Amino acid sequence: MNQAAASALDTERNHECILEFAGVQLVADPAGCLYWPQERLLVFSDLHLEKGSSQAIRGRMIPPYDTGATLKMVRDCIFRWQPSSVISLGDSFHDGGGEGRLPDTFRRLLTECMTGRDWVWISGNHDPVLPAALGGIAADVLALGPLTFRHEPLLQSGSGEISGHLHPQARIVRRGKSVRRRCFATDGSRLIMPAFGAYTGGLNIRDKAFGGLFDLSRLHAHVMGRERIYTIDSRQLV
Amino acid sequence: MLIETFPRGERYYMVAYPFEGRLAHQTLGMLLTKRLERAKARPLGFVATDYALAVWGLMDFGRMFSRNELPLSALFDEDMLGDDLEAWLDESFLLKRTFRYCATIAGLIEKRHPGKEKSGRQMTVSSDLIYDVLRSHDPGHILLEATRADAAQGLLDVHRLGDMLSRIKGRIVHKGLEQISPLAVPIMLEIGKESVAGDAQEALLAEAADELLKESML
Repeated sequence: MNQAAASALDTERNHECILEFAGVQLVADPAGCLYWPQERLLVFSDLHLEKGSSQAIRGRMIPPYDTGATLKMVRDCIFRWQPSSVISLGDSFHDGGGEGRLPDTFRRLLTECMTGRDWVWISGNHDPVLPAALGGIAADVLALGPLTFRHEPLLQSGSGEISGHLHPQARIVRRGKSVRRRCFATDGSRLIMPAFGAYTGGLNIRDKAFGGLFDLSRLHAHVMGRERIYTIDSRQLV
Repeated sequence: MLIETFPRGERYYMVAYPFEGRLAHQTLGMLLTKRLERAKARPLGFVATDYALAVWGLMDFGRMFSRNELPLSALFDEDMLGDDLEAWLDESFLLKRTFRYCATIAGLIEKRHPGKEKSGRQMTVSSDLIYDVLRSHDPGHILLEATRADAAQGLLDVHRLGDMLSRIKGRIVHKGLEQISPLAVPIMLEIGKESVAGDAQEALLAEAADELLKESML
């Protein structure tokens, strides 16, 4: 680990949350990415790049700045962790033509993020075929040691699956006030990552789409606060 | 001007009676919560009627006033109409709501109709997300201008508020009460309409997380 990364780790240490997952230690970053120190691997899920322009094609003219906002956050995270490899866990682009519409400035920003490290594009339902032009490796599933990375969680996946797709959010109600935030959801054998993209919404982990995926008695939500992760027991979620 | 503070439930309340009308009170409410947030009083929300304004939060406002940790004269100082107003407007829920109307009229987003609700994950692009992205990348956007104009006209009544703040200077009476007063009952019935984002939300998350910690140590 280089000097910058070491000092970044020191100053940030209080804010991240270390997860024991399938026998390895992972770090949940409050920005919404996941770092595996032992492999120097950084994972982002559901970037949904070019979602704004995708909507524009269908006649809904929403502001197209989402890609820039998302990529700048990606760059900041990469700078913080200095990973040797990065996985983008599917739905990296909002649609198949997303890569083609990527404006030059953002393409350069993405290339800057990718330079000097291995980059894996996991395919998702929004981007089943990944564009070759950007470089990096494309795959449907990636197994690495005890962990399996795939976009959409499988009901019978076995232990150690890390996925995205569902955009988990946790909601609590305390003192008559509700707070809802993106979260990492895990029961120790499966982990579902929050969506990273600027224009991505979220789905409450109590929603039926999450049915059968978790052992509810061991489910925890690692909720993304402003500067730190809050680990909250599933019984407190509504 | 009379100000009452009292605890109720697990919250602390402050009720002020400026009698300046709902719009001015609403603006005052936004600005006060901003200041209280900065003073670490963790405000949770406020509500305004034509007669009064109630603010509630997690810290005992009354004690902060009487111990002079947060002097009332500073809290109600006229300078709040400057930077505070700008800062609050930028991240305010009221402005986001106004933006939602503007964005709907512009055809950016569609109204949700009963029976046709989409799940949150689906894209009825949340107007909040658009608002945040526009604000950081295109602050001069015509929709944001329209939003500000709408808000200044419909929601703020800044002028009347300014007159009131200069009039009450040095004439604030604070009553620290043990329980809700008869005067405060009508406004307490209005509660639950405006919310404040920020430290208080983080505090609630931290509380929920602490609960887990406590349990695991038992």
